[in-house]
Amino acid sequence: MSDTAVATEEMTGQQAQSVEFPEAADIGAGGAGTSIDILLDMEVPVTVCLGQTAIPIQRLLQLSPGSVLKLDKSIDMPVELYLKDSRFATGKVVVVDDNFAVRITEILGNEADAE
Amino acid sequence: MTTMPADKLSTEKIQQLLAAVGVRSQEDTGADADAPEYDWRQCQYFGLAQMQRLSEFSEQVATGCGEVFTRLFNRPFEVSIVSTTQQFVKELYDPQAESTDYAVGFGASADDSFGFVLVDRPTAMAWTGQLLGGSSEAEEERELSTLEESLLVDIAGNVVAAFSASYTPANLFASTQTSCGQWPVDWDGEDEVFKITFQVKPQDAEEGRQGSILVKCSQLDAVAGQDAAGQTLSGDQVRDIVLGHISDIPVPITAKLGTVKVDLADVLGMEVDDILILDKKVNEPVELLLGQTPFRYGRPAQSEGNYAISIM
Repeated sequence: MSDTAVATEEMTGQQAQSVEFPEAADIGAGGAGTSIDILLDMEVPVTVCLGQTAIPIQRLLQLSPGSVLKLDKSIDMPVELYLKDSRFATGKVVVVDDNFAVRITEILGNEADAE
Repeated sequence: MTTMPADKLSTEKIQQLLAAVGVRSQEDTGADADAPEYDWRQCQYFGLAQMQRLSEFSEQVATGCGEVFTRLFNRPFEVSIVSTTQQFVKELYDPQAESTDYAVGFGASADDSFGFVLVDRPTAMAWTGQLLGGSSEAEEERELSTLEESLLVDIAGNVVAAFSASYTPANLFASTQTSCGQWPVDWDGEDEVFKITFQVKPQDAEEGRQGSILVKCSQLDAVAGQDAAGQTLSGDQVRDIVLGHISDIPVPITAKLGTVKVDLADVLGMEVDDILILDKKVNEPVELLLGQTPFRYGRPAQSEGNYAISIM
């Protein structure tokens, strides 16, 4: 394929020239910027985590069907909702039309990430 | 036998070089004065446990040699081990030096030696002289006669037989010739050699005479056995050992109820008491994640008041 490209260049007598991009100065800092509206249609994945735990590798290797893995969260506590790796809300697990669902109990501020 | 390599650095030279590149030698700091120095130029073919086994092996050889000398000279002899060392050939052999030592090679066959018995000329003369019935220990500076050489070969052959009795994996045969001033083996300066120095002493005498046995280290692998570190573990053994070390390390596990794709607009407008319906039926399993990777599935449950997952 590259052979063809080379041949074409020779046959047409065209010459490849180097490109120089102009230096861009950011002068839009004080402006209104782009509205977030453009992102509103974007889908983001929300993950619901029941809880976590830490177990020794030995126990991990012994896990088999029937084993019960106890998580670090009491069933009275809310579950956590993540946007990517960032925890942004908590909720209560409910069932809607045979599907798992979450009723939001709290929207977390950014400081919740510190945990 | 090749010539002495030219790259033999003295300790002083190495310290000069280290000083030149700005590294201070240990003597300057003085802080670790008691730390034993690891000499990286030393031969390290065998580990400590192997050297221990070779030392025991040498003691067996010495006992055998004691019987040999007692039988040959018809009077009680004691053979004791003076030292057992592993060294590079270049430390032991100087091709420039005039040597009058006598060597008798041995190996798995008589004409292919991987080791030899070495004695200096006065010792050779004393032993052969005693076999010939002479009582004088006069140490004249002369070469051994043909008869004396053949007697020396005989003595060495008996020593080799004593060595062979404890040696594995082959029977050893001594050469029928002795060489003076030269080693009857084809070794390089970098080859590793195990050297047994032994003393032969009549039981009623104060002083004995020394001889040595030199063997290429690689020929003693079977005798030395595996080092405690065990370089030849199988893959499964290594796996078990490593698992044994890491089995207590905790790993974080996350139980993921489900994921749902939501328009950013809905996320931005989310309020308390809103309901987010997941893409998961209540009878579908949930994922257990190790890091980001799903590795097991299970059903949500509770255990002792906590959320729990019953592994499927």
